[in-house]
Amino acid sequence: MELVFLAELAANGALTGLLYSLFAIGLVLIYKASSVPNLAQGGLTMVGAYIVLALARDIGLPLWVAIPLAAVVMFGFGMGIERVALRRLAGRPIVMILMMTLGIDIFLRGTTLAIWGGTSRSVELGVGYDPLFIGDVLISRIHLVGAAVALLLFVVFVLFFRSRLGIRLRAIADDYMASWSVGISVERGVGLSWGLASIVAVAAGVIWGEIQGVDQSLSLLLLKGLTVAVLGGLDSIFGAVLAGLILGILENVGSTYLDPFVGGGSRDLIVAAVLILTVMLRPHGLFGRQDIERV
Amino acid sequence: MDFSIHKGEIFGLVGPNGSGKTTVTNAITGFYPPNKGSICLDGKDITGTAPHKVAKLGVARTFQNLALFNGMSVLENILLGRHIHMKPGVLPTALYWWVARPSEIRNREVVEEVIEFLQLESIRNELVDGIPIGLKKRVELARALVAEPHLLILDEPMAGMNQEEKGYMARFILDARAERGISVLLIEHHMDVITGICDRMLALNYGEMIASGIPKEVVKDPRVVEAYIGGAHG
Repeated sequence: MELVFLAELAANGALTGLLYSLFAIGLVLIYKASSVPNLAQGGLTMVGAYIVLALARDIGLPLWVAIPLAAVVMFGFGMGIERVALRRLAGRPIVMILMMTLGIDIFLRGTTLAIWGGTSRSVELGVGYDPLFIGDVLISRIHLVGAAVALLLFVVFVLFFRSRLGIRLRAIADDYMASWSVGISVERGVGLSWGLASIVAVAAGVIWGEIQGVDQSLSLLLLKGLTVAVLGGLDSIFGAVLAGLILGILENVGSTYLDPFVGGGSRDLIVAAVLILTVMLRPHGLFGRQDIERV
Repeated sequence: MDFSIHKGEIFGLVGPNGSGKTTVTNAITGFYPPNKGSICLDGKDITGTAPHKVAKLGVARTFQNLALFNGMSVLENILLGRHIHMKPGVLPTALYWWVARPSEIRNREVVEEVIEFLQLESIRNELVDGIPIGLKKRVELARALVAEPHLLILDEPMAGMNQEEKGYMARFILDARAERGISVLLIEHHMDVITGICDRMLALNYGEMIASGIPKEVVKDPRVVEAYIGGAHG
């Protein structure tokens, strides 16, 4: 096989992978603060996209107003979910908390179906679909934009975790008892992490909504997002970015070579294999804290 | 049970395992609100106040089994103890040089002072997870002190320490009171420490007060002896 073709597969795989990272950053934020794998992150991403559509298409606001506004709305929405549904479960078995987030995901899917129906709609970001060649390699423009957004958010969060507020969140991620004893409100910090994850969900929702259309299937991004988050270590944002790159390249290159043998569908097999092998061989992922199981 | 700690006093709390010492500290610091009764701090009722708010009111504590930020360095741990005096506002940060700097310098001074006082200079940049337990206890004390509390609660600060480390710790506690005028509630199993540094003390058994007063007298009280030796004399 030609080298250029391989480079093209790898480059576009890497870009797609960064889009998984974009999604996974939301999962990591909540997991870091509260050790809860948020199964509703897919639902939040979908709702984020729908709210942008509602503001831009139904009300007619320009996108540069609609997207920040949706981020504000979703920030409040995420904090609200934590306050109303999650906080009362503090100290309960983790499986109950997981079921709650799953329930919220199903609820969000049902609600968007009831309000906006199931027809896929486009965000129309206006990125354009003209072929873009870098050297001889054909790159998808929207994926490139999305990957840039993912990297931008990564940098923003790295800086954020150095700010005073970010350090408080890190403290909460480290130890609840110690946080309380130095005067940090753990509850408020966990709420904030839900708010921030919901803002990330808007970004992921807009980009993925542009790529595959906005409908309930957006919430299924959770499966790949979870795989990336677990591979990265669940509580490491850098891990999520790197794991996204790895998974994206692996699935794009791997499936192209494997598909002829298994008759298609090897993409999902690769993702599943990565998830299963990570859990079996390296449960704390690439960059997760080793003592995660101890919690 | 009913007791009070005077300003600037070192107050000892003793009792066999399971007698409710740690429960008392958890009730004061808001970790477990009491079922009944009330807790006052500086004349204000703080019963049932959330733990992070109790900390902001000037109560700092250490834990029997340590509660440090294990993923962070010694310095970061101590700085977090100072957080209640730091405002996270965006505007002051943006106008750092004009607005935030004076208070920032003051914060840093307090932290450096405590690091020097507790002789943690040489390990300030080490990860807390990797240092010996005696030093961890000292880091926890440092983190509590930089908050400049009115009341410092130490839950078995000398557990697992050798004689020399115990001596150091006792000196630190005495100096902290002398230099900063802090009131201290000290939970300890080592009776020599209690009689050595406490002004008054209280002995508990099964959640009941069995004796209180001047340490030298309390430790001679037959009920206290019995609670500790387990009624071995019949």
